[in-house]
Amino acid sequence: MLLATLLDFVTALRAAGVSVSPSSVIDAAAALSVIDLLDRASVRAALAVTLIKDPSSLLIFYRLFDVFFAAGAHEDPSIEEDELFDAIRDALLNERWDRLSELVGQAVERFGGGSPERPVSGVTRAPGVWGVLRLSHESCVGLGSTAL
Amino acid sequence: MFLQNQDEVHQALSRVGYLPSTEIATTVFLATKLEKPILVEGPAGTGKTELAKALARAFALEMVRLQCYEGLDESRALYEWDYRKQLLALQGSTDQEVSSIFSADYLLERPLLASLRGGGEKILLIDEVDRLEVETEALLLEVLAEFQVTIPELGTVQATSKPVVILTSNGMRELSEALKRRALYLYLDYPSQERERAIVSAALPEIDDELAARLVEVVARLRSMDLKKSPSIAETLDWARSLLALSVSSLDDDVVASTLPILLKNRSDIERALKELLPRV
Repeated sequence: MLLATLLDFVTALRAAGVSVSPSSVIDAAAALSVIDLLDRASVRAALAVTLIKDPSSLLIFYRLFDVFFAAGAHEDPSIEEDELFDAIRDALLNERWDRLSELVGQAVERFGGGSPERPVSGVTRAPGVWGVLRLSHESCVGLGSTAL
Repeated sequence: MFLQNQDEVHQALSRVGYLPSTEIATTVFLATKLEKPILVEGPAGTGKTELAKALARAFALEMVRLQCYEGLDESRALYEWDYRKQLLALQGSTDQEVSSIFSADYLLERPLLASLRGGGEKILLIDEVDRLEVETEALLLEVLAEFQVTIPELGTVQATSKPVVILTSNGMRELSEALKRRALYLYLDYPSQERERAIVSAALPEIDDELAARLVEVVARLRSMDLKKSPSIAETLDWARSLLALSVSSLDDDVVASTLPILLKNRSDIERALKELLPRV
């Protein structure tokens, strides 16, 4: 079960353009078996140091981790659903990464039905979020500003 | 090194004055559990080398250090045969004894081999690995992955106890995939203002909270400028110490202007910072 979640997460990382080698996945699985899985910050750190090998991928990792292992509700009631994607796009264009993480998290909760208990199903049902994440990665590496 | 959990790392490092983030504590814990080296990358002055030193202090381990530089070779990094001793042994010896001059007695240990041999657990610090040429990186791989060194004349030397290995890199060039794959990758950026304030307060308990907050705020602003060399954590501490020695209680423009050379060591950086920080002066 844990392994399946890890493999889905790795698939998502690769889909977002991060290369993850099989030996890194083995390390990540070993790491998850020795740390406290209820401590979110430790899980995040353990996956980051085993799966990610360069600073530019680290940005996309943190964003994806927040989506995948949703931190729970931190909704901003001032934003209507229709406006959410516009807000995400603005945050992307202005490179406001903190704001972006927050908004993407909200988008997953609203459209994907994600919850901390069902992180994976939430992600697979939110294709729109994938598009945004892919864009965010492309703009990180300087390719995607025209794609918008 | 046997550790129960990352809190143990956190406490041990804090005791010796190194405040680890969750990432740092978790990485060190995993490195001991998975028996993997840690590759620490990030800008100069973020406490990469200091992490290795702090670990040595915190867990009372002997530290073996390999400083990397362009042109470093096997005989400086791994081992060398002691030719002088071998020649002396050959004089007055008969032919049958010649093979025995390639034995452990005639071996000069260099840092990588030394970290594997001898009693007691060690910390192996391989500093500034990005200064090595790509081809030389390969020298490290056997030690990093297998904790062993193969010496053609002698065979394979296994580690008597596996060292905790820390590699640091300032990111001057991309390291090889082979090396990255063998290590846990820890990216150390400049600390957040909150963490840097905690670092300052831990190092200098007598400092006023407000002064510490102002001080790390100025340092954070300097780091956000496009300078040749941003101030390191060590320089923040130097600055804080100097301000205490000068009995400064609050940071006004004059104090900042006169003490800036503690943080910035480059004339054009200082001029630029003054212009942006204190436009009125």
